[in-house]
Formats: sequence, C-alpha cells, structure tokens
Amino acid sequence: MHIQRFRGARRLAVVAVVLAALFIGFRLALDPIAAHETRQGLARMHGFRGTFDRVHVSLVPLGYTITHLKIVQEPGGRWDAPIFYADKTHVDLVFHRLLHRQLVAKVRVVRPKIIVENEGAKPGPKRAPDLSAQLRQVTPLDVERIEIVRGEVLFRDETEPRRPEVWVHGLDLAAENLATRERLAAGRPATLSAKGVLGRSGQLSLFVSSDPYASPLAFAGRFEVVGLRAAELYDWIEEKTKLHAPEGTIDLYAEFHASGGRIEGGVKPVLKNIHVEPAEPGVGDRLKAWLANIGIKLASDRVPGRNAVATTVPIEGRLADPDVQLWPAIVGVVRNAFVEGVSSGFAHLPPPEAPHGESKLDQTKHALEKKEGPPKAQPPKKGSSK
Amino acid sequence: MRSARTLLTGALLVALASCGHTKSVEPTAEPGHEHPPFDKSAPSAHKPEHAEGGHASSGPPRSPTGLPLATSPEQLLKPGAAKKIQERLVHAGALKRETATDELDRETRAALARYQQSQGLPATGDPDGATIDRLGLKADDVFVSAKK
Repeated sequence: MHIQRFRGARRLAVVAVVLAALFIGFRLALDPIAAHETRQGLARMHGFRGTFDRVHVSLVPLGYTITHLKIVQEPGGRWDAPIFYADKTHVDLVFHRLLHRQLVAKVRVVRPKIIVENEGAKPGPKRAPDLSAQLRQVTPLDVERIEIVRGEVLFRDETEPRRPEVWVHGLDLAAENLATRERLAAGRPATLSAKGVLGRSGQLSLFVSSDPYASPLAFAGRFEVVGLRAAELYDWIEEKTKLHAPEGTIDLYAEFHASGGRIEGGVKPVLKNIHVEPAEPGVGDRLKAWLANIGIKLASDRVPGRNAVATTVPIEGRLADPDVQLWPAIVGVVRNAFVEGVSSGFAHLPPPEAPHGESKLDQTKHALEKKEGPPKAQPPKKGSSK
Repeated sequence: MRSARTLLTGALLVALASCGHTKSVEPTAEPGHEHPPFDKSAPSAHKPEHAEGGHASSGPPRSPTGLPLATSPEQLLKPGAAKKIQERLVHAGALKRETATDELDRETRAALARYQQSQGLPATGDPDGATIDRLGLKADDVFVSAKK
C-alpha cells in the first residue's frame, strides 16, 4: 500500500517535471519562432525592408513586443535614415475579446520616429508605411487601438530647393475604435486625439472622429497650433517671397466636417506682433517688406502687446478638390481689424454659410456691418457637384 | 493708368483707416458673444455653430451609417459624463474639487493629461476609451453611440 502510494506520487512528479520541461521548452522556443515569423512578415512588405533587434512574446498578458524596429524604403533606403523607427512596439491581445473568439489587438508604439517625404511626381512608392496594414501582415489581428508615446514626425518637401521641413515632436497620439468589423466598434466612431509640439514653439493638438464604414469617407474634427514662432517658417516663405518674419507668432485653428464626398469647414490664422524683413538687401525686397508691414499694421487690431491680424478662410467643396474661398478671408481681415475685434480660438469656425451666393461687393458691405456677423462661406456655384 | 491705380489704392487705405476709427478700434467682446478677444478659455468652452443648427438637442451630427461624428471630444460625451470624469479625476488626485465645473474645460483637460501620463497612456488630454476604463467608468455610460 505504502509502495503503491510512493509510485503514484513519483509518477505525478515525473508528469509534472515533463510538463514543466515542455512548458520551458515551449517558452524558450516562442521568442525565436515569433522572431522568425516577424522577419518573414517584414520580408513580405512591398516597397519596404524592415529589421529589428529582438522580439519577445509574453503569455500573461498575451502580447508581443518588437524592440528597435526599423523600416526603410526599397530600393534606395538607408538604414541610418529609416523612414520609420520605434524603440518599442507592443501588440497586446484584448483578453475579453478572446473569450468571444475575436482576435483583437491594441498597439502601442514608444518613441517612434517617422519621416514623410513629398517627392512630387517622382515615380516609386515614396510614402510612410501604413503601420496597421504592415502589422496585419505580421499578425492576423484586428487592431482596435493604436497609441503613440513621445513620437516624432518629420515632413520634408523634396520638391523645394531648400527642402523645408515640418517637425512635430513630443507627440502623444491615441486612435481607437479602429476595428474593421462594425460589430466590434460598439456603435462608436473611430477617433484620433493627438498632442505635440510643432517645430520648437507651436503647441499642436488634433481631434478627428470618423466613420470607417461610410463610403465615401465621413469625418469631422479640429486642429489647433498655438504660439508658433513665425521665424520657424523661414525655409517655407523665404524662397517664394524673398521676405522673412523674424518676429511674431502664428496661431492656427481649423475645423472641418466631411460627408457624402463633400467637405466644409474653415481655417483661422491669427498673426501676432508680426514684423517682416527683406531676406536680401535689395531695394525691391525692402519695398515689399515695407508694404507688408504697412498692411499688417493697418489690418491689425492695434492692441498694444499683441497687434493681431486674424481672419477665417472658409473651405467648401468636393473632398478631392476643396475650394478655399479667398474673398471671405480678405474681408475677414478687415472685419477683425476694424469692426469686431480679433476673437481667439475656434470662434466662428466653421464659418456660417450664406443662404445664397453674394457678390464680392455684398460680402464686403456685410463684413463691415457689425450686426451681420462674420463673413460667410459662399454656397457652391450651380453646376458643381453637391 | 498707374496714377489712377495709386489713387484708388490710397482711397481704399484711407477708407479702411477711417472705418477703423469710426468703429471699435479696441476690441471688446460683443454682448452675448461667446468669446472675449483672446480669452484663453475660449477653445475648450466653445460650442461649434453647427451644433446649434438642430444638433444641440439631439447630440452630435451623424454619419450616413448613424455613427456620431464630432469636431471636438466633448461632443461625443453623454450629458453628465464630464461630471463623472471630474469626480474620478478628483478621486485620483489629478484635479482639485474646487476647479470641477461639470464641463470638459481647460483644467479638466490638463488634469486628464496628467492622469494619462501617470498611467503610461498618451497624454492627449482628451477622454478616450482607455482613459475612461482606467478611471473605472464604463465607456457606454460616457460616450454617445449609434442609435440602435
């Protein structure tokens, strides 16, 4: 009896040791298998090549981490200047979805650096990689949420001689309800919230909500940049205007709504304490700078300490070819300077739409009357697609 | 021709300048105007104009498939949701009780960003699903969704 009990216990111990050995073997093999699969997935990408330092699979919680993921364009990409790099990319399976036999994941990208280049009409696949699409090749999951923590994005315009750049850093971004199947979204729109720093001085924030199931695309949102030093736009404006603005700041507010293939909204730039100087010491450029300063002084609200110039630029039209309305923007400068006073933030965005088309004279007349409200966006002309 | 254009430009400038002197040179808030000039609290307190056009009572505008679409995160919150978020932020020590206003204002957004940072979430200052979950609230109690 005693011997039988001892044998039973020994068998149990052997089974436990074998199971533990199998588990340890499985665990040890998991990371190399995942690394192999990741390498295969990266090799299947079209127009890009990818590399990484290591891959780690965690069982509790069920997740997967790629360290130092680097992606370059192919052909011609350089590993020392990748178009995408991230310290860590985590993919976590959503456990409660797993219970419903749904493979849904959340992706978290830590300290990514993304380079987007505008190469104009040059041939070739010159664009930033679609992270969710590339991840889909690596893992057959529905990505429900993407987080970016302390990211950097560099946009470079290669079509201009100076190759001007827009740099966003300290970027925190959360995009959620991205699931491609309608029943996973719980009746909520896909949303994107982001906050970061534009250049060295502009505080940037962005919010977009969208319906991923609508065709054509339906979305709404707003965009805000506050306190961007005008001097940071030197490379963008000097080449074309031969002027630069070493003093002053720019705020920019935009609000938009797109549905049924049409977009409407507005952009509101607010220039504060702007002073323009010629980029080169020629008489013509000095004259241009003098005229620009006169114009700014005349159009500003003349409040000491800020001397702001503001307007609202209505945007209306087909999504593929929106119409930026210049005249309401011009009369908006006049109204803000002389009639109403500069209002900050998202006031008057999106601009109200006139019930019927107005002539430029009528628009100007209305803009100079306080009771008429801000300049109105003009409805689409007859014949344009609604 | 050139002198005529110069005269015309001069006349326009004089007209604009005189217009500026006869109207309000020092900008002030209109009676009932939502934002005084450069009121720093304006963006967060702003209710977009299109929301007044029939959407205010029925929530945010809807997409063709019925999903709510909003230009700002507060438009996607159910009535009273901002208060619930503030209560949780106060409980978490990210917001002072006396600054809670039942609106998703600048202080609340700053508190949300602080809380998100402390939780390792992206510090956007917007109430997203993960933040709501960490605050111990249910997304269905906070966000508006498609009408069933």
